[in-house]
Amino acid sequence: MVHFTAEEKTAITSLWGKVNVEEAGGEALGRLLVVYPWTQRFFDSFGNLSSASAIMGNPKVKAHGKKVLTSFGDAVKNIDNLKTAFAKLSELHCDKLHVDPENFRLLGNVLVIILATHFGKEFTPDVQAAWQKLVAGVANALSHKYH
Amino acid sequence: MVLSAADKANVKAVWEKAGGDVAKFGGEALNRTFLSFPTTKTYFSHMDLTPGSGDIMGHGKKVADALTVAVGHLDDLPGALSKLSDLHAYKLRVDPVNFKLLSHCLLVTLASHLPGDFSPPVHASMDKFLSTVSTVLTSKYR
Repeated sequence: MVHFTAEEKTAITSLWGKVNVEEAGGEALGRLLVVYPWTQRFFDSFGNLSSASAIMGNPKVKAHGKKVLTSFGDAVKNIDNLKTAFAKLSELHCDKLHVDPENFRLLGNVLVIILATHFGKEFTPDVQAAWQKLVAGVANALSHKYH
Repeated sequence: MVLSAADKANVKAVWEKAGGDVAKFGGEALNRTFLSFPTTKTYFSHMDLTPGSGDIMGHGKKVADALTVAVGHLDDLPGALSKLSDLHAYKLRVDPVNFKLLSHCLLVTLASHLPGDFSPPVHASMDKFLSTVSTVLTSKYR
C-alpha cells in the first residue's frame, strides 16, 4: 500500500484546493485525446474529434473531463485508502468500459503537465513528486480489480 | 511514428522560445526525474545528486545541448544522434523505460516555465519529438 508523508499530503491538498475542477478536467481529457489520439477509441459517441481545437472545444469532452476529475477529487479525500475508494470504479472500467489500465497512467501524466502549466514555479519538483505518487496510486487502484 | 511538418515547426518554435534557458531546463528536468522516479538515480551513483547540485545542472546542460542538436536536425535524427546512440547502447545501457520518465519531466519543465507556449498541439509535438529521440537513442541496444 502506498504511504503518503504529511508533506506530500499537504503538497497535494493545498494545490487541489486551487484547481478549477471543471476547467482542468476538460483540459486533461482534451489533451489526452490530442497527444495520444488512439485514446479516442473510447469516445466514438463524442462527435467531432477531428482536430486539436475541435477536441478542446467539444462540450462532451469537457463534460466527461469534469466527471473524471471530480472523481479524482475522491482520491485526494481518500488518499490513505485508494484501493478501497476506487474498487467499484475499477470493476466498472474492467467489466463494462474495457479500458486498458495504461490509459490511467497516460491521463495521470497529462494531469501533472496541466498542473505545471497552471501553477508554474509553484509546481516545484517536490510538489510534482507528491503528485506523481498520487496519480500512480490512482492508476494502480483503478487497475486493482481487473481480471 | 513520423514528425509532420507542423510537429517540426512546433518543436523548433518552443525550443527557440526557451532560448538560453534550455541548459537550466535540462537541469530542472533531471531534478524532477530523480525526485519523482527515484529508481533513475541508480545510473548516477558517481554524481552528487543533491537537488540542484553542480553535477546535476552540468549534466542537464549536456542533455539540453544534445536536444538542441536534435532540434536542428529534425529531418535526420538517426544521423545527428548516431554517436549518442552508440554511447547509450554500448557504454551507458540505460534501460529504455527511463527515457519516458525523463521525457515526461522535460515536458513538465517546459509546461511550468512556458505555459502560454505549451498548447495542446505543441504538447503533442514535443511528446512525439522526445519519443522519437528516445527511440533513436535505444535503437542499437540489440
